[in-house]
Formats: sequence, C-alpha cells, structure tokens
Amino acid sequence: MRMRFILLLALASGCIPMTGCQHVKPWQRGALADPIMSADLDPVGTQQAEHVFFSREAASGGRGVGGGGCGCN
Amino acid sequence: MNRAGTQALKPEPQPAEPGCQHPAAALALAAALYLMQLNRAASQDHFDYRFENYQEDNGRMGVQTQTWLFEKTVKPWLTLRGQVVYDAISGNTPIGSPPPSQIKSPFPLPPPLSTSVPTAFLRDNRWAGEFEAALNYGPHHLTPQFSYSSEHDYLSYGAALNYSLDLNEKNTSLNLGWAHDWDSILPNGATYIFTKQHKNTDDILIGASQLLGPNTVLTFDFTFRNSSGYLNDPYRGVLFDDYPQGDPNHPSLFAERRPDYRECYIAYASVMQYIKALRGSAEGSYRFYADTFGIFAHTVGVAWHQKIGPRLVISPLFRYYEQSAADFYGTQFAGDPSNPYDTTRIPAYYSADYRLSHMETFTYGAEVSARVLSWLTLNLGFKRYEMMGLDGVTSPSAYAHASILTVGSRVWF
Repeated sequence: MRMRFILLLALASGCIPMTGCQHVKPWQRGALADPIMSADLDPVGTQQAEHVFFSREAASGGRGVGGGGCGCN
Repeated sequence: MNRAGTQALKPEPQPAEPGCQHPAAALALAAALYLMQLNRAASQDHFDYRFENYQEDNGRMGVQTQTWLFEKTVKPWLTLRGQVVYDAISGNTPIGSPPPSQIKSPFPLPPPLSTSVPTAFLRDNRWAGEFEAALNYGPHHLTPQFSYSSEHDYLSYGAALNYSLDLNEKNTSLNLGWAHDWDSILPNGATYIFTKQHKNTDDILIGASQLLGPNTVLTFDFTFRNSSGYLNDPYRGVLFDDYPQGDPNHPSLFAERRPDYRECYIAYASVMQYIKALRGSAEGSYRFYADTFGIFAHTVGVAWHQKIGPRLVISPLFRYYEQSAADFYGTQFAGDPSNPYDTTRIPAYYSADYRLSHMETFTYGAEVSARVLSWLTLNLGFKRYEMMGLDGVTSPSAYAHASILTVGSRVWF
C-alpha cells in the first residue's frame, strides 16, 4: 500500500511538467541561456557537496544516476 | 557514492524562424545571435580544479578532497568529460557504542565513565575516476559512463548509461538513466569482516525537465535503487546489554547486522527561476526518499545566485534534511549473542550506526565565483553542516558538526 502510494505520487508529479506551461520560443530564451540558470553550473561543487551528504545521511541520490560507489557510507 | 547531476534542458538558442517578414523577426534574429554568443561562452571547453576541506569539530573526521575535471567538445556530436578525485581521510569516528555513562548493564559499571560516544581513529586515502562520452544526434543525447573508486578497504567499479530526448522545440526533455556498481568491501585489522565481501547496486531513473516560461525550468526525477549483498558498515559495532564489559570506556561490541537487500524510492523535483529585475536566479528543490530499511527522508534546498557586475556571482544556500530511523536501529540491544544460554531474544537485524537514527541536518553557507580573466574563473565557498538527533535517545555527541571550505578554479580553453 505504501509503495503504491509512492508510485502514484511519482507518476502524478511526473505529469506536472506536461500541463499548464507556456510554450517558449527559441528567441525567448535569453534568461535561460544565462549561466546562473544552469543546473550544471558547478558540477564539481555539486558532486563534492553530494558526497558529504551521502557520507553522513541514510538517504542519497535523486539528481541523476552514475558516478560509482565508495566506502564512505 | 557520487551522483552525476541531472541533465537539464539545454538553454541553446536556435536561429529565428525563416521567412518572418515583420519587425519582430529582426528583433528575434538579433536576440538569437546574442544568445548564441552567450551559449558559446557557456559551453566552452574547460578544466576545473577544486579543493575541499571538510573538517568536523572536536577532532572528528576530516576529509581533504581534490578534484580535477575536464570537459571537451571534440566534435559537434561528441563531448568528452573525465574527472579524477583524491580524498585524504583521517579522524575519529563513533564505533557504535553509546556513551559509557549511558550503557545499560545488569552489572554495576565502575566510574569514571565518559559521557561521549567512544570513537576510533581512522585514516584512509581514496582515488576515484570517472569518464563519460556524451553522444548527440539531433534531439537524442546518449551518455555512457564508467567509474572507478579505490580505498584500502573498498573497491568499486561502476557503469552508467543516460539518455535524454528533446521534445516540443526543446521545451521538454525526457531523461532515462541506468547505473550499476560492483563493489567489494575488503577486510583489515579494524573491520568486523575477515574475507572480502561484495555489494551490487542498480539505479534506474526516469525524469523530465520542462520550461514553464521564458524564466522558469522545472525538473522532476524518479529513481528506483536496489542494493544487495553486504550492506553493513564493517567498522560499526553494536553493544548488547547482557555481555559483560571489562572496561566500559572501551566497550566490547558485536558486528552490526543489516538486511542484505535494500530497495530505495526517490522522487526529486527542482525549480529554477530567473528574476530579471534583480539580475539573479532562485533555485528550490525537494526530495522524498523511502527505503525498505524503514527510512523516510525529506530534503529541501534553496539557493540564490546573485550577479554583481559583469564578473561576480554570489550564491548563498540553505538545505534542510530530516530522516526517520531504520527499523533495526538502536543505541544498544537486549541479550548476548555469544551466550547460547541467554534466553533473551536477539533481533534478526541490529545497528547502532547514528546515521540510521531519527535525525535532521542543516547546511548553510555561500559561494563566490569571479571570472577574473576571460579564460579563468575562481571560486571560494564556506558552509556549515550541522547534524542533530531527534529521537531523544542517541547521544548528541554522536552527531557531527563540520565546516566545509572550498577553493576552486575553472580554466576555459
């Protein structure tokens, strides 16, 4: 039951991006092209921060897959 | 485990539609040309170096991490990315016992008894490497990745394959990912294992990024993970009530025992919003996590990226994390596993690893990034990381409080 709820939540949340948004034309992307809007602005910094959290907390992941394992947790 | 960032929608500008005869076409063309220039600046090849000093208070663990990363677009359809990480790890870490003054024992324990959790000194080095090739074919982006990590007590090989598909004039991006880690846990004089142990982990991701408007990007990912094999911490012990303690300040412990299979369900959502009037962007994220150990966790993160002048960006951040305890977590357990005549029932699984307890953590700090030359960006950051127990049982001395200093550079070439 709990897992079914989680899967439904995930599915419902996944549908959010498909609805209620404005179509953005290529020439309207000035702000989106700004480096401060990049999710990958500082990949090394993000990885190092995630590694600290991974080493100290029971939950991890969510932002992508890959990168390999380590013995810190 | 390092986790590569989710591939977001590429903010690549595209040329204006041909055949537009009205004045807006000229404006659009000018904007597109300007954006293409910006994009070229943002996607230049680069080499990054970053040093991080993670230091816990009171002589607990310290980790000095150095990371070297390169990214080079070899062909329009091929971008290579590789990185090497070196960790120097040393310091004191809790061994799994409660403070001697809090040990429940059928026998009286002689004072003086320490009020802090006992710790052991640990020293290790870690080398890790990662290599990936991003293959682009029209709206399709395929990225195979290989990774390696080596410590004197741990060895890991990893492979991953990420795929993303641009849809709807790049307003939508669908992301799929798979990763597998083959890990080996190696014995040494300080571990509770005497032979090499193995662990396998699979991650499967499905997600999407969506432009909600010209200033807003929404990302959503769902990850399923399963791990099997040796899932214990080989250094972490457990104290049993009925086992006689000779010196409670140096308690005798038993190896912890966790299930050998774990499933995790992770939902992650983030929003990035550009605020033109302030020349800044706001980033908010939420992560829900549940696993078959019985742990539920919530993570909320917010960051602000403020541009100051043409070269400087200041980014304050705050992150809050809260988790429930694993079903088999305790600070000490009833019985004595070594005594066959002890009638107290020993639980099937037990761990006193404080990282499996009901707790919360706070992270706050800021980073400054400056493009000092056209080919050089420098950054400097400082963060505090605070862990706090919420169960009222685990000793506050078990939880770490750390300062994190980072210094880095990016050379564009």
